[in-house]
Amino acid sequence: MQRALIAGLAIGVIAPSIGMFLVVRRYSLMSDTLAHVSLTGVAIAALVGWNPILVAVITTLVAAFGIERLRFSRNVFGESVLAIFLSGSLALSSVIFSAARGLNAGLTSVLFGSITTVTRFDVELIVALAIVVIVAVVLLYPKLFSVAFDEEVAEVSGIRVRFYNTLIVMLAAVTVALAIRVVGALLIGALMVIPVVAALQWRLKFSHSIFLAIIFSLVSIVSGLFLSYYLDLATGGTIVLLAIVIFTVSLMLNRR
Amino acid sequence: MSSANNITPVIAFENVSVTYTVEPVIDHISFTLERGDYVGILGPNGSGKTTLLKTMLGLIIPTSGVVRMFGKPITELDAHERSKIGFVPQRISEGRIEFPATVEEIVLSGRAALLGWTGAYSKGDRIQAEEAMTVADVLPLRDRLITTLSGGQIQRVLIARSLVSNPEVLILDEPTVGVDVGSQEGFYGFIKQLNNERNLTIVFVSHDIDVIAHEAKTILCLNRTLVCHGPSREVLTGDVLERVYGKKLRSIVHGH
Repeated sequence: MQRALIAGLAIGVIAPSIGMFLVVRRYSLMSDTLAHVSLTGVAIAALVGWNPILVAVITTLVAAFGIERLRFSRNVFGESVLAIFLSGSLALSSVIFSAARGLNAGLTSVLFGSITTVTRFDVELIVALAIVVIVAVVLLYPKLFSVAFDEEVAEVSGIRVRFYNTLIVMLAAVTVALAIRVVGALLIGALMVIPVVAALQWRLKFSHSIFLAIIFSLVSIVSGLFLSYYLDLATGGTIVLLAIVIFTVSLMLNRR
Repeated sequence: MSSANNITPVIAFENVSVTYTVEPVIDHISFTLERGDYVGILGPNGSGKTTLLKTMLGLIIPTSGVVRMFGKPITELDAHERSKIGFVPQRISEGRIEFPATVEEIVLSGRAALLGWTGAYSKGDRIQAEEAMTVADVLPLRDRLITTLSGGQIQRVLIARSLVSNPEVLILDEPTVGVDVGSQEGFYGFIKQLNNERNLTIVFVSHDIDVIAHEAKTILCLNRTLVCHGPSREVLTGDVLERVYGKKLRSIVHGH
């Protein structure tokens, strides 16, 4: 339980931090796309017998890089790049899973999370990479903000917009791959987006919205963990449902 | 530093052409602008105004020819040199008005490119931001979300952002589209002040002949090629306007 808590806290901090930059740029679909890709990573890990989180992180990073290159090259039309990766990776992972050891209950834990079975190595990996993500966001915050708000002005001022766009997607990739354990591949998108949208209802300044989103996310995760543990419910689903409750309350309290 | 040199033109286009597919969008454009110029770029839709502006800003690399800022090819400028260029894009740009940030956060972001790796704005940065907000008369709005501001107010915020890096050149793209006439007058009065008091070189693009005739000291007429370049009083003849707009237009120069 203690390991689950630490892993949950780490994810709880980075998911909305990256999620904020995806939401304001309208890339919310990106998190789901990366989630499907990370599924493929887990499938590959099952095939070769390596640590699923590690392989998921690598696979998703590679895919993130590929997605940004394709989007930038303009050969493929806009959002369809995401559609290709989304369905393509799902198809690939179903094939690999069936080749590995047949579609079995192991799939449920990947789709919906299995934070209670997280190993010590898993936790260390998650915390280490989460620290990398946090440090990156903190150090690069002004430039990430500038690019998110206005790419052209950022470019004119000398900020390499393409680099920072790719960086955000890659940080999202890492976050998604790490979060499979906590809420599963199907619900990662929710964890990155819902606390952010809830925080935005309070109409605070941008940096404070990120802090509030982190608070909402941590509350959802911690209470979701305890609730699902004692009531024997699916952890991932419980966490996301609590996040939705927080969102609904935020929405109602801030009605204009 | 070449910016201290009074002889070097601030902006120089040397035989610049930009071609996307077959025909050049702008064709063998050459001109120089001096420190303290107040230039209006005039031309109908499709004349290449936007392309010219983006090439001037270094957002587009010319197919042939060289663009120089402060004597150096624009591609060779570093972030510190680029801070001397202020850019105010067209207000109507997707997503900008819906971005959940305060005026102060947005104005501060004008200094993001100048930060080192520490990733934090310094006290000096914040003082610059305060000064810029004061000059642009948006200081009382500093804690307001930009989503709650009027078109004219947003325009002033974007100007404040462009002023925060102490530019020597201010480039504006269609600055008063969608702004009512009353606010327009105040706006151009403000720009004239910047031009007079700080010797700020001003370049703005407009499709509005009235405004350009009234406000700009110098005019560049564009219709794929440079049709005119000179003091607005001399340049706006029926002849020139016909070449720019392709039909007989009475000269509408108001008294200066």
